Parts: sequence; C-alpha cells; structure tokens
Amino acid sequence: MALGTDPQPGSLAAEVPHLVFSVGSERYALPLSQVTSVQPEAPITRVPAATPLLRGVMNLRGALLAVVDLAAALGLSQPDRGKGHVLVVRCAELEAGLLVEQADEVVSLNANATEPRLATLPSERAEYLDGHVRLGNSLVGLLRLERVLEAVQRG
Amino acid sequence: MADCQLLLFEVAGERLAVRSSQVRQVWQSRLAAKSAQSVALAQALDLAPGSTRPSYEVAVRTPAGTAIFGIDRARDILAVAEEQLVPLPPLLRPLAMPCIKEGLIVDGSVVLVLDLCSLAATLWSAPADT
Repeated sequence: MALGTDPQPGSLAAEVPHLVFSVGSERYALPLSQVTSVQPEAPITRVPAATPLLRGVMNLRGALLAVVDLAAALGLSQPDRGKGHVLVVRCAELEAGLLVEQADEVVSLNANATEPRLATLPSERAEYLDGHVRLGNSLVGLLRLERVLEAVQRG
Repeated sequence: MADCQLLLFEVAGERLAVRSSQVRQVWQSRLAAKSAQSVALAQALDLAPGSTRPSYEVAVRTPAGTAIFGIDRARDILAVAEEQLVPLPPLLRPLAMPCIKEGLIVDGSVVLVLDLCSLAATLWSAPADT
C-alpha cells in the first residue's frame, strides 16, 4: 500500500486480537489490548448503596478491584455465584473487573468484518456495542469498554 | 509501621469493620434504650433494611455526642498494620458512600472499613468542627 492512498475495499486491514467471552447465553469480544488478565471469580464484597451495575469489590493480589456486573449492564441473566470469571480490564487510567460466565477464546478480528449493530437490539444494550462479527454460527458483539465504565461512573 | 485495631462485625450477611479508636462501647441491644442518634446499620447502609432486628449495638464517639449503630454481631478484634488498609479503587471512590474509603483483605476476601463518625455526621448533621 503506497503512502497517502486510501485502503481499497477488500484490502487487508489490520487483524486485531480480541478476547471472546460469554455473558448469559451471548458472546462478546474485547480487544486483547484492553484485557490485563482473566481470573476465576473470587468472593466479591458488596459495596453498600452503590450502582446496581457494580457487583462489588474483589481481592486481586492484595489490592481492591471494582467488579462490574456486565450481565446487569447488558440486561442478561447472571452467572451462578462463584462460578464465573473476571476479566481484569484497563481503559485509559481506569482498571476494573468485568464479571462474565467464561473467557472462550482469542481470535484475530478484521475491521472489515464488522457488521453494524442489530436494529432489533434493546437500546440499553446497543449503547455498549460497536457492532457485531460472525464467528462460526454465532454473532459476537463488540463491546465498547469505555461506554460500560462511563455507565458505571454515572451511577 | 503503625498498628491499628479494627472491630470486625457483621450486618445483613456482610462483614464490615470500623477502627476501634472510634468505638466507645459494644453491647447487646437494649429494647428500651434508644437515643436520638440511633439507627440500624443495615438501614443506614441500605443493606436489607427490613431484615432481622440488630442483636448488638456499637456506640461511637462523635463531636455531637454518642451515636449508636445496630449490628448483627461482633466477630473479632484485628490488629493490623496501617499499610494493610488499602484505598478503594479509583472507579469506585466517587460511587461509594462518603463513610467508605478503605478496605482490607481478611481470609482472602475484602472487608470494607466504615468511618462511623463520618456516617453519623451525615445522618445527624453534626456541627462542623471549628
């Protein structure tokens, strides 16, 4: 590709590694660059009077990690207590945990393969997504981490 | 390395702690003895406020006098190093109640440390220190 020219349709766009994970019966993906680690769900302490989007705080190697209830944010069924996983994520200067069912796989996604958000999506879920990609027989939602953390901060 | 003592207690199934320097006394609930500054901690923290009646009461010194908080049970007195008390993560700090600023790890899980003097000031609008 010559400098200064726009990429041609169908040309190779960068493939970006993403972590694919399950929340309820649905699958979502985050750029791997935003994921610091994946931890088994440890006891989560409730924070009194905090937003319902926040499940609580968890011990992460001696520090306190705020754990976001991603199922609550997306309006989905929640994992059984103690059987989920926590994605430790970082966005800008904020670190948080996202409570999910499980981390499934790491795949490289091509930006050209992104489909727009489904028009039938509930609005409260659509605001957290950048679109969808097809992996095998399933649709995987591309999560916008900054939107999730902004929603938590709004309380 | 400074040490501090914490009273570890239970409210609505949650383990919480308070610096023992704030605590004047702990006693079993008295049916008749009520003061103007008295509340079930489960109610003050919105933790299952309709749950069972508190079995114990914690009396806390405040600038406006003594405030009494009802708890379910006192569990332990812990001597910890000051460094074991860690601040809330940045995402959580603006969301938590003003009386919750720190926590510590006990038996692998997080116990939040309450500033009951601050909570009393919020609930009963204690006059500001001059």
